[in-house]
Amino acid sequence: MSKKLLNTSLGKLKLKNPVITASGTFGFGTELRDYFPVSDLGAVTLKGITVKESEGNDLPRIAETPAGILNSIGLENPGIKNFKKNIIPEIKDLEVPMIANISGYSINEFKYLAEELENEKTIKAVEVNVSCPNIKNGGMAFGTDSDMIFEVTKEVRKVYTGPMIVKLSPNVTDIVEMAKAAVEGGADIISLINTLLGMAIDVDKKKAVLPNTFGGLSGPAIKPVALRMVYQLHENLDIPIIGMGGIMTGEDAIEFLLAGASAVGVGTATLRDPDASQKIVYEIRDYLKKNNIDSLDEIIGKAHK
Amino acid sequence: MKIKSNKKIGPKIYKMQLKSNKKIKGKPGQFIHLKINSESYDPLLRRPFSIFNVDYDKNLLTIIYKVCGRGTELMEKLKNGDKVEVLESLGNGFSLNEKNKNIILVGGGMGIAPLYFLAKEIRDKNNIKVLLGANNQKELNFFESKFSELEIEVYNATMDGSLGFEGTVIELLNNKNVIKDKIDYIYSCGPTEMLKELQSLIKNQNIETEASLEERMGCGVGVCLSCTVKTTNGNMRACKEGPVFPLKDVIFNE
Repeated sequence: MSKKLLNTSLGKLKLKNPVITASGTFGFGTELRDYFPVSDLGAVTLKGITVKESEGNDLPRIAETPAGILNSIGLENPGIKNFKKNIIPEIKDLEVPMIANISGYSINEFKYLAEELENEKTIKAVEVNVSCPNIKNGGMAFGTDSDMIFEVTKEVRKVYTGPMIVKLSPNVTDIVEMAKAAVEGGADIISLINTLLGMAIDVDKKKAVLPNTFGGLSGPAIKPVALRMVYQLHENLDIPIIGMGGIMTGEDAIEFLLAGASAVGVGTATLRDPDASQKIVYEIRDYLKKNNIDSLDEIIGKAHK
Repeated sequence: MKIKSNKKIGPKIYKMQLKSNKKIKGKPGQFIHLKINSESYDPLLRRPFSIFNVDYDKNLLTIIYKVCGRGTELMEKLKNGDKVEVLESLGNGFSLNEKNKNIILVGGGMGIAPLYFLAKEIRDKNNIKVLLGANNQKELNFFESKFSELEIEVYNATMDGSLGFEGTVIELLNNKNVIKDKIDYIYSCGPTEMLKELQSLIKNQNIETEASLEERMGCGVGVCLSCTVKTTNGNMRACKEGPVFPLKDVIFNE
């Protein structure tokens, strides 16, 4: 594959292609090694990490809805200490840029997590998750308040010098306002969207399907909303964007690039097909070739008038 | 894989035979992850099914399913010759190393399916009895005849008493007049309630027991953490470290 054709940059973060796995849908990068070489991807965003080890939420944690999935995993993860001790050694030789996703329950926790990763060479960027809908404090509570986004971003910026991505929640009235706060706080890249808050009800049991009542909706059902938000950000702000939300095919990915994303996140597609992200890389390449496009820059943001 | 047959064998219960053009690797207790419709995002996720039987020479794999929701309603309509995408031989199955033991298989409802494949693979080296539980006779007829073909002693329990013992399969197991020999080892699969009861039963009797758990799965390949099982050794993934676990290690929710 011609390398140059698919190259993209997110500020200082240079990727050989625009396909990044979305956090929480690709484990810690090694789980799917039997399906395809992870080095085929632009980057891998790892499962979200918190300060302390977390057991996650009660089961069932997942409910299928038309063309979508509601999840309420609850950030089950081994915690930052175990991550550094046990997981980093396992992934340090993977030939793909690795992005750590961090979730705090307070500004100090976000800062502490970023500080812990500052000197970790394996981690090429940090994604600040201010948008998890499945934890009681922190998470989305931060991501729906522009003042909090600013504060979290500013504090992480003080201790983390590498590329900082801020992952935004779509559960807001004005996504541009949230992104502006992140940019003012010092974010280098914006990723969006995290899941949309939703629910499903079991009509036989007459109660919510998920024990947590609400969950995060992902999959093709949310793509139009995600695309609109990426478009709005590109229209109003000059910051690299990782666009995600329901991308299942190369064509879906191209839509996000046209809307203004410089890279795309593939998440739920991997739960349907373990090799979906690799397939999307190939499909983007095929689209570019078929349309005689020599580089991704020629299409990024081109849907804007 | 291609559908070779898809036929009704009981109330809402179907047997689907799949033909692969590759060698089938599946072992007893492992599962397949079936994409019901490649053309549509509804349903979006695959569905996991334990393996009922494999014919390794003919590359045939059989599953049993009960129509109980959107996915299985669509499966029922699949025709011979239709193609379906399958992730094969996922998870860790039952241990197959037991020899010269008195083994009891305990299956409830659709949980009986993987025990047939297991029985086929280990019956030569062991003395096996099987206890089957379901709501009624119609749900058990097919399974009973399949185990009988293997010349394995079958004991039935039905909730309505239409076949065998009236009550649960665990009550049947606990009935001293039924299983008189010493039990060395138990393999089980069935609803969570059944496994919970089995767990308290074996606690007192100290019988090594393996259980295949039925948890709602997302990806089936270990990345989404939808099917986490709490165990005395920490959180495990039903799809990856499981679905078979030592029953004594599983921590069930209240």
